[in-house]
Amino acid sequence: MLLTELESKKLLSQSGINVNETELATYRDEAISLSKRLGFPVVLKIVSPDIVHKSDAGGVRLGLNTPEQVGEAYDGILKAIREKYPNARIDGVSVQKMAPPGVEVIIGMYKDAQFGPVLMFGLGGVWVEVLKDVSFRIVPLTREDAAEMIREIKGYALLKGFRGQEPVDISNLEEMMLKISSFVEQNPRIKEMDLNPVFAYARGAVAVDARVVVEDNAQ
Amino acid sequence: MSNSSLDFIFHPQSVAIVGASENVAMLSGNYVQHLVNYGFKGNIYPINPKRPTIFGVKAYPDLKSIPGNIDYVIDCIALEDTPALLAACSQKGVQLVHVFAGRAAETGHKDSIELEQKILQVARQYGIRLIGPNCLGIYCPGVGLSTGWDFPKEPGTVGAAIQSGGNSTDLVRWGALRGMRFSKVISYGNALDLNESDFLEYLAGDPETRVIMCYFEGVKDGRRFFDILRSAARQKPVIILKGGRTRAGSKAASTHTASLAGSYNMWSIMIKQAGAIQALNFDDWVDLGVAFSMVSPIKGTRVGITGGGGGRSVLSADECEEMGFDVVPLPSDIREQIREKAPIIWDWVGNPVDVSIMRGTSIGNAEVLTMMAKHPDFDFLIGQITEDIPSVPDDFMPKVHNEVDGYIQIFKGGLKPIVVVQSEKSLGINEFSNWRWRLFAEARTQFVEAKVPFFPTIGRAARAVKEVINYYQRKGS
Repeated sequence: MLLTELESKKLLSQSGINVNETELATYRDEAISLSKRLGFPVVLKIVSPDIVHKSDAGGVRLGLNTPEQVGEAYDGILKAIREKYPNARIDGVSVQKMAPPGVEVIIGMYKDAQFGPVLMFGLGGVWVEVLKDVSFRIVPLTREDAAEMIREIKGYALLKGFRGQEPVDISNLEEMMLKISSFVEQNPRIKEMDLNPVFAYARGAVAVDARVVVEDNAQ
Repeated sequence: MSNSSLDFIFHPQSVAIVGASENVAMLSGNYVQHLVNYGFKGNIYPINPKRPTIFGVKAYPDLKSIPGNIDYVIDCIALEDTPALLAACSQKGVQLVHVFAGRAAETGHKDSIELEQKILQVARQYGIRLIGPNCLGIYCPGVGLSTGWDFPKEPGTVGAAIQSGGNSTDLVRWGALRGMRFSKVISYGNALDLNESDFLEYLAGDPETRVIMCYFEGVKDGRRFFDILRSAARQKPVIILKGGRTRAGSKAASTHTASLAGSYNMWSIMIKQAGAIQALNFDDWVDLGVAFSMVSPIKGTRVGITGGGGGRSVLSADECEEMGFDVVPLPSDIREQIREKAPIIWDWVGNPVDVSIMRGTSIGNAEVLTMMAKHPDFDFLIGQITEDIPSVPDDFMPKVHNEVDGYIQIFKGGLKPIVVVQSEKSLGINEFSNWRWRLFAEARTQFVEAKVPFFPTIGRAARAVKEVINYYQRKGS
């Protein structure tokens, strides 16, 4: 069973993993008032258990700076989804403060038949599919494992600061992976997970999208 | 289960061989002979109702006719008869049974799988531990247990847990040819009861074992194996050859992570994460066994190389540099030492040392490598046996003898770790009447006797040494 972004983030956040604050709006004005509370610019995304690729479906609007833009985006998202997926169940629209851009990485988890939960680290966002520049380790991770996973990918140079960019906070990323490792250990029902992208900054890192798959109850 | 709880396996006071025969064409017939040949000190009880003796050892018709208790039973009868045998064993205080027979669960047949399960259930009921089925059992030369006719009787420091009987035989034979010696080698087959994790855990805590080698196609419990491997690798080098290439991953993945995992070998990731060393193939496995059990710890990558003419020297440097070694220039003070003996070449001889330019001087490879052994600029040495010089016996043989003796002296002196490169050729029997090939065969024998680690090519030496360096650097950090 695939959890929605909102459910996934809530679960992660409860375990001390840094996700950007995300709220659910179920009507237009709620989206606007949430935007005001969170602070502009914001991002709106469709929340539906039936839609896996949100942006392909027209279910994501970025960089909304005013209440008017938020209202318009809310209506636009619902219209697009209803046209494309008339039968999709819709929980509402998530409102989140747009995180400042950082180096995009992915932290993921999957259950290996032999060794149980395994974590993955790599360059995130769209680069995941193109470059497949990732590393794996079996859970639970030691600090050393986390450090090696980060240093092992080819894109490590991007994290160290590329062309005068400030290097990202590697030890914070390690910390985050250790938290995710213990989160996975404590939640054996989790089957797969992507935190993608995670924005890595000079100070700190934040997961701006998350997808958690839990084992079906039958198991 | 604690590490030492399996110690009883390797210290039986008495061994009974059920189904013992004098038919040496049957593998099962050999165990009595092995116990005799390898000097087993305890009581040997061949069980055979039709014969008074087996290989001169008094035979018994069955277990209950044996006076007193028995520690260890080697079961060479049919699998179907094993449950009844276990019941008889329980009357004689047997702690361990090695089930030799195959054609068990590995056949995939339903009745064989059920029979295995029944054997396990009966063994548990009587508190008897099992090795096998479908395996050769234990080679432990220190106490006189063997699984082969021609294995070394002298014990050593390499312990091995091996799923395949053939691979255990190959490891001991090929390893022995290279000078390796073993503490305990367990061929455990189908791992019905005792499995790879149990043996690995035992070997990790075994004071007689300094290096562990494992071969398996699969493990019973991946998580447990990973945890035990991680702790074993912290204590000593563990070299793993994994048979069967497997792909993980989930076909119906709804995340990038699960779909990407399909293109990675999770075994390699597990072995690396645990801090163990993964062998690429059988030869590499033996090379790594030689390197870890016979080469003293190497702390850095600066290498000094001798042996071979110009072309071979260049190729040698290439192979070492590709492995990440630092082929440092010959230090000027070594040049000064060479100047006295070889004023013609002192200013252009390099590292690797080109043997062909030393012709007509009073200096050879062994002398230069000895200078390198004493010099702080080198972390380790590779001494190759010169083979590429076209020369007559009177000129060539003393040169090679000088190299062999010199390399052995450097090894014994212990100033620097040294590995020797002595190439392997597919010689026919007639080649041994030729002085050249006999010379190299004799050199090889001398290295084995002196326990000098040697490799068939510089590339294989470099690859194995690289893993040794990595291991000790990881350990030191």
